[in-house]
Amino acid sequence: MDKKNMAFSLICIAVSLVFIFWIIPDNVPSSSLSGDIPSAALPTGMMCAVLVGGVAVLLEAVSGKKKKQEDEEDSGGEKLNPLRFAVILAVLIGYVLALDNIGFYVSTLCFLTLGLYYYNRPRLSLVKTALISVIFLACVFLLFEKGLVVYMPRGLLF
Amino acid sequence: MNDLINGILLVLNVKSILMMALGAVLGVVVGAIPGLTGTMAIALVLPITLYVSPWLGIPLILGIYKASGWSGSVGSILLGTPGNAAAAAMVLDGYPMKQQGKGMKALKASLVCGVFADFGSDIITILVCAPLATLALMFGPPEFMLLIIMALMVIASVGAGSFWKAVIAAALGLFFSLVGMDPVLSTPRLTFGMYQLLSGINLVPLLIGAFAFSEMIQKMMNMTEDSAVIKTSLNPSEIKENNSYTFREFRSTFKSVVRSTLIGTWIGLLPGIGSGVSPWVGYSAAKRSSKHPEEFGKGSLEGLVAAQAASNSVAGANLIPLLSLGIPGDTTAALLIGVMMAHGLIPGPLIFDRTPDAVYAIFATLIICDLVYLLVGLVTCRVCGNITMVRNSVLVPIVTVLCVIGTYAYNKSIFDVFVMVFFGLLGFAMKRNGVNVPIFVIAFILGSMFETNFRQSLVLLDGNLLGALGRPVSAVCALVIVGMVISNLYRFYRERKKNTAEKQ
Repeated sequence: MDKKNMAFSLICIAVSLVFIFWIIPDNVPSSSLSGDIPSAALPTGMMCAVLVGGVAVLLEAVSGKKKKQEDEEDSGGEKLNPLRFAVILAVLIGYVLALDNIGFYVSTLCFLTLGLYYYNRPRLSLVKTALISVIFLACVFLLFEKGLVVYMPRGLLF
Repeated sequence: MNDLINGILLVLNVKSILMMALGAVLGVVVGAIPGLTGTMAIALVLPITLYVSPWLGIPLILGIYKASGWSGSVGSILLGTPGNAAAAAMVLDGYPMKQQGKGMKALKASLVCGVFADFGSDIITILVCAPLATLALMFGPPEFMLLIIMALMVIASVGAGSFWKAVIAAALGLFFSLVGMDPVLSTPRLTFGMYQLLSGINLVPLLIGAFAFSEMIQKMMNMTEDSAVIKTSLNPSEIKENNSYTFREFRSTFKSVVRSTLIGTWIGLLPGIGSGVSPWVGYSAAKRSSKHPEEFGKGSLEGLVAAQAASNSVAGANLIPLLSLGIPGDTTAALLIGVMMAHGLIPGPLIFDRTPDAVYAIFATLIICDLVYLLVGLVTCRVCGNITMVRNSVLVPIVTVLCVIGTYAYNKSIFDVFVMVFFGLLGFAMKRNGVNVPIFVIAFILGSMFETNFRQSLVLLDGNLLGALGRPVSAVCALVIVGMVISNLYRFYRERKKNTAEKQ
């Protein structure tokens, strides 16, 4: 029994059922013109295809199909560390939220400095990573704001 | 003739050629670094191309595309680590050649033969596109509808990973393309009250999220120590002939290169199969017909160039379904369609009528790009070893920020950045579960075209879609689709029977 594919297929089945019976009826008008299909028909059809695919994968997983091919293509071979994933997700979302609220340059300076420092200890010190970040941001400023006239978000700070 | 000359003149100028050179340099650098791909580079550069003329943006993208097709082999030859999936076949003979002190010869041979194959495939593309587009003009909505389903089924059947997971990916891609306004009723559909979604999900944030950002999340998750720091040197050999690739050597492998070019072009023409498969097919064909098959796998020049030629020749042919039918056959074609549509160029059979100079400009770009990246490649051969030493731990935070910048620059919208993060997470989840991300993106791009043709078919056939079977092209497409479904069901039944027998 292939547990990973079972979990994946159950998630697909659950999501498709939620969409078919709840989200699509609530968020897609049921009206249609004569001779045409209702607006909800295609979204429902696609979610039905996801449901069928999920059931097929579940059957394959339950029947114990050998994972030769999927093992080769599944590049997430290493086990997912939930805590690490949660931290990375929180940092990324925090960074994106900070872009508009604090400002692009300040938030990117913090993100880049800490990111380079964390992944390059002890080879790069905090000062060196801050310097790399400043140089990078200077290049971004010159290329985008001066060159292409695309202004990065300014929040409370810069 | 006027359109041909006008088209060529659009790209035969200093600025466009400089953009091709810049693209080639970027392609060489990105392709040579293990873990980064040309697709990622194109996704990041794409928003910038929207601020310049299409005849600066498209040459830049094609330069990256073509150069990265070769530079993925740098890692294969120098490190024994392929820079991308397509370059895996080049390890078999490229790395042994480097170990024999013939690293420079291997790099130059793969470059020259790769460019030759690229050029051959471009010529075939130029010859085939226009007649195919003329044929496609006879297609109606039922034909296009079934053609799209057939293309997605082919990608699902032949591409990497499980067929059913590919069906899920395609269905999800089509589903997300339906977000926005209903094209007939003009009512919001699946917008969840967000006005930003009324015009649908933007393509560029999805592309950057699915291809580049998801890769960065994966690297952040898996990066414990930097595996890219592998010292390698490409010092010129003391034996002069080990540093050069002569015309005599090219002539001796000419048949293999031509054979591989034709194989790669044919594979590139079919949507979804891509350059991952063609080098292996080219390599095994060369081995079978070689006078010295025992040398393959031990540093055979013929083996290396056959694989490289088959890999590179996919690039030009991938544009055939894009230009003539408007159906992207692979990820780069999907990215190119984004650039073209943003500049008002709609790929498909009508592009040959409406903007023929644009088509000829693209053809001219393909040819000139080959020459440009040959020159760039020859110059950068010596420094390739240094490029592979760039650390992932330095690149990943920087590329993550570039994803955010590129997405924001597209529409100056923070909402798009959130969309990019969402699809980055979705792409990451898909990759972890062996789901085909390119088919998801291709299905998304084809979604609105599919819906339009589907609804027009219903009107045309008075609600009876089976009437499409009376049209010859539709009947052929329907037969292929049914055949694929049956073959996959049969494969599933056979595997189940085999598993039951093994358990007993």
